[in-house]
Amino acid sequence: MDGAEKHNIYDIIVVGAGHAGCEAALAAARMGCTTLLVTLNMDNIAMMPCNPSVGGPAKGHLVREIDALGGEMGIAADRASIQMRMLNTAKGPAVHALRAQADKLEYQKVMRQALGNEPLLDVRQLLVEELLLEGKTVTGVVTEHGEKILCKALVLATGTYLRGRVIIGDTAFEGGPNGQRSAVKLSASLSLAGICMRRFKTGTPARVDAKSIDYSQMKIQPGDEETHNFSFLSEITEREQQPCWLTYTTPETHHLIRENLHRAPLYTGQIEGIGPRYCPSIEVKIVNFPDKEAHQVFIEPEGTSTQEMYVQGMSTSMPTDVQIAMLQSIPGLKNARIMRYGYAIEYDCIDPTQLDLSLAFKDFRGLFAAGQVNGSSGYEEAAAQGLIAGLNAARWVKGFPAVVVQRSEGYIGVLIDDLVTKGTNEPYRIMTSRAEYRLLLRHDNADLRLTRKGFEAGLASVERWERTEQKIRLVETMLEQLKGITIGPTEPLQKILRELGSTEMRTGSSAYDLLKRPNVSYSSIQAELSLPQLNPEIVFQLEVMIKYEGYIKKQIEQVRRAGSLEAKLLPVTIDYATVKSLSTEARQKLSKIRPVSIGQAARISGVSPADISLLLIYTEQLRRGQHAE
Amino acid sequence: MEADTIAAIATSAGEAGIGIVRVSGPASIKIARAVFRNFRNETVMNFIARKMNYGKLVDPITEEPIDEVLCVYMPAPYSYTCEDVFEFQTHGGTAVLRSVLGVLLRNGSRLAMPGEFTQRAYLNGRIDLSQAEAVMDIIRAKTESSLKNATGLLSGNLSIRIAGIRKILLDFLAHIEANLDYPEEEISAIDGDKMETELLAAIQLIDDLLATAQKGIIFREGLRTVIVGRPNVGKSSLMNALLGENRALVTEIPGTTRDSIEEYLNLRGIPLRIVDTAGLRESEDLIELMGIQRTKDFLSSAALILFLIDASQPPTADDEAIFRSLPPVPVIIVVNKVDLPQLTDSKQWADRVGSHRVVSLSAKEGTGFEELEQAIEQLVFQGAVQSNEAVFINNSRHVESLNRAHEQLLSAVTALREGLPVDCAVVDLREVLESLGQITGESVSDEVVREIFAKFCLGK
Repeated sequence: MDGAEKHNIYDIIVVGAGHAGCEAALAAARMGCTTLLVTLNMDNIAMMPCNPSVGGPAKGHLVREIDALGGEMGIAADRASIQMRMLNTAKGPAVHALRAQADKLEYQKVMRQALGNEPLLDVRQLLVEELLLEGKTVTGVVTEHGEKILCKALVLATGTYLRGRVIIGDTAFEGGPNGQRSAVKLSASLSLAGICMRRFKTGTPARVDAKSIDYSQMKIQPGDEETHNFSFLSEITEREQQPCWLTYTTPETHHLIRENLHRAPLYTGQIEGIGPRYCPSIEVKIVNFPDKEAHQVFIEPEGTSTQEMYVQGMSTSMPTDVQIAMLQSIPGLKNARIMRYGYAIEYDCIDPTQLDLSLAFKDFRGLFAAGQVNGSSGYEEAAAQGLIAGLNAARWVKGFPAVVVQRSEGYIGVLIDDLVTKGTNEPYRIMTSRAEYRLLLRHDNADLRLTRKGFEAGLASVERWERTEQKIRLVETMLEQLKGITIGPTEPLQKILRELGSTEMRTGSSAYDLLKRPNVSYSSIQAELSLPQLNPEIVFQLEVMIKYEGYIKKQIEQVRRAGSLEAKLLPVTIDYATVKSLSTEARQKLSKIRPVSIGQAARISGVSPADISLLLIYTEQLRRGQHAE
Repeated sequence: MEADTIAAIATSAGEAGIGIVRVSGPASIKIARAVFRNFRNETVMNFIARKMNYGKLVDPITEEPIDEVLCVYMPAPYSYTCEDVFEFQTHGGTAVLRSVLGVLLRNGSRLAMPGEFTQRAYLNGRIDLSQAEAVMDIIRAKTESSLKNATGLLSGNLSIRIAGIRKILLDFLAHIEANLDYPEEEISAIDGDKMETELLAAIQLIDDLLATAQKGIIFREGLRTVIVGRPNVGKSSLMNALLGENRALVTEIPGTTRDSIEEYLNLRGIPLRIVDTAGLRESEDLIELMGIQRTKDFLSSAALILFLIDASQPPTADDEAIFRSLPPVPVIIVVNKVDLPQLTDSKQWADRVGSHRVVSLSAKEGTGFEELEQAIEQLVFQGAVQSNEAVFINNSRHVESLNRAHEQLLSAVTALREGLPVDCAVVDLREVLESLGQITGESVSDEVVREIFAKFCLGK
């Protein structure tokens, strides 16, 4: 084997270096696989082509879970953050959600450093044009220069670049986001291999010059005073923060958009791809919600080294003259100057129901896919899939079984199960409402839920696992201790309770039971009961576990109940054509998706409860048949 | 592999003018071609959907006619089972029906399992769970009201009610979820008080349904009625008079052995399952009789007691003793023999028995029954007017699910009152949806499915 060929053989190739690709490559390399990460442009690794923020409801949960499993996004977001807010704090603990405004360039820099630190990881600027297959087994790729690079497993993380087409008004051109190249030929190679492709659309608003904005017309949106971090490893305690600004669209804005709808590519038929319902363009919002008089517009900084301000809520593909006119109709943006126009982008992606829960293609060997190419939207959704695809590609190369996060274990499980089981007809966004066990899948306990899994899979570091183990022990010990501390209705305590607006104690109780009261916090009784000083994270954990104990137990019971369906496995070899009486739609969907369990089958749209009854009977017959033999 | 083809006699056994044999499944048309000959004695290749064909049913091997029949073809999916269905109307009588069925079974079908047609209708998505269960009830319906309730359930009356309750909850959930997922979208926070009010309203709707359960079960099982009284007050005459007028249409409940002293009768649409204690041990000492286990069992399971006294004799200590030993269920004091000179005034009794109704009649003359029937009817319906939309929950699985939903809603209300975050209430609300969904079959749980299929196999 000569030098050049040696150079061109890896365990794993990751195509695309966006949020999915970076996590996939890092996971693969950290698992001990020689890995190549290829990108169209070395300068645009981990680029955030849309909003300059990371996290939010459910998305923030994903970031915490990525971190808990040993991923990078949390650490990078912490280091690149220029503002952090904990959202939903007035609501239950399960929906507390951290969101960071990120300095986009800084984020890329931090991520590039992390990639550079991995000894087994190479990063190269190349355009992949063809998939190399031997039968249904992936063997490598061919680049635009005709270079062949071989691998044992491949992760597709091509984002919105496959046959990317950018649309602004009546102009449209081939390209990726932010003036990048698009990958034109790879789509065809995938189709040729038998992969089912579809076309989605997404978009982004204009960026305006900070110097041209009149902030006095807007409401300031500062970050939290308290410092937060996504990563369980981050120890940042202080951070300089930049504010965001809130303003609103006006009747004039709406009028302008309505007057120009005939020029809107979304309505002229220029755009054929399916856009996200959850992140609509301003023209769609005006058309779909004609009664709403004003829509919120958030002005967010894109970084400390640029004047660009992101205009959240105004995603558009209107012609440039309409874009400027509609922005200038908004208070504070009267003199706004656009630095980059908003645009829509259409791209090829795959039907994710071709994948299994490990994100591997069911009909291929060694082929994985992650991120927007799977029909999702969002940096966090992409990164989460990237981590799982990279991890499982590495486990596949090593001959280990796949690692799957269950729906009851994390939002990552919800995200991937939704994509591969239900499929999606629009860019998929994670939401807290998609999780049925939300009270268990909290922001605060991502490490308790997942770090063991990450560690055992070979991804999370020893340091990470030790920290988590320590936390688990401390929480358990404290819960026991609090149950053991009995206290009488002493006057000082009664006084504290009165001041907290809680009723006085009539008899003695344990500190644990006292903490069950909604108004009583650990800190409020700490001094009086001489409780130990604990870090806030532990205190929060204890309070949540005590105050919501009843409901947490309910959810655990729900998981157990649902588990009986999840535990009823469907053999991979099952021939649905032989299952009596299934509806035609169910037969087709089941044959295509090949669910691993009755539980997963029940989540497939078009598979009715009656079909599930049939499958239950069928598996019962199989079981009995086996017993008979 | 497609489902196989099943056949069964669809009408009940016994002497009747006609009987129907039904075949369902993909082979049914092939079977029909094989065994049916039109009036010109020809094989029919193309049956017109839902049209009666007159002809003969023959054994295709010998071409020997079995019976003169009418046959109708209901192509999939527009049939009861959503499969290709043929029905053959034959002459009544067990022998003919069995021969017809035999020919069908020898020509590509197998004998249907109990409840299998309904099971197929459910599995093929034709009906939901509550409807499938209603079918089983229709088959077993004892009176027209029972039938009306069961048909009401079949047409989805219960599903409609459940859907109404689910809608309230889904609206809330949608609002709450939107609020949680879009914290900055200025979606108004949920108004706790309003939510509490509406959840309480939902609880009321569930309770309303639950309140019908007792009646629903009456319609299904019959109102267990026991006639008691000392010897010679006319218990058997009352029983015979009631039966004479209202002899039940259906005299057997599947799975139970008919007891010689237990009769079914249809009283103004209410199925009564009536026990005459006279049939027990009339000659024994009455007080002792009241003490023996069997009588006690009858009385303790009674939903209504008809306590009979003799108007032609003064009240006795035995009357007193019996009355005092009655269990706390509705009692109607029946003052019998008003055709004879009266030594007991029904008013005397009325004063002493408090809220219990007192009616006077003559079992011998057959007078005064109107009043008794009215009293029973009033007890059952409590003055409520019966409408066609009325739903009576008649199934213990439904009662259980509704009770669970009630508890879960209450838990949500408690959570809100205690100031727990709204997503705790969401946990409860989602459980309520699950519980309600189990009634209609929108939620799947293997336990439910198992239970249902166990039931299908009991039915016809």
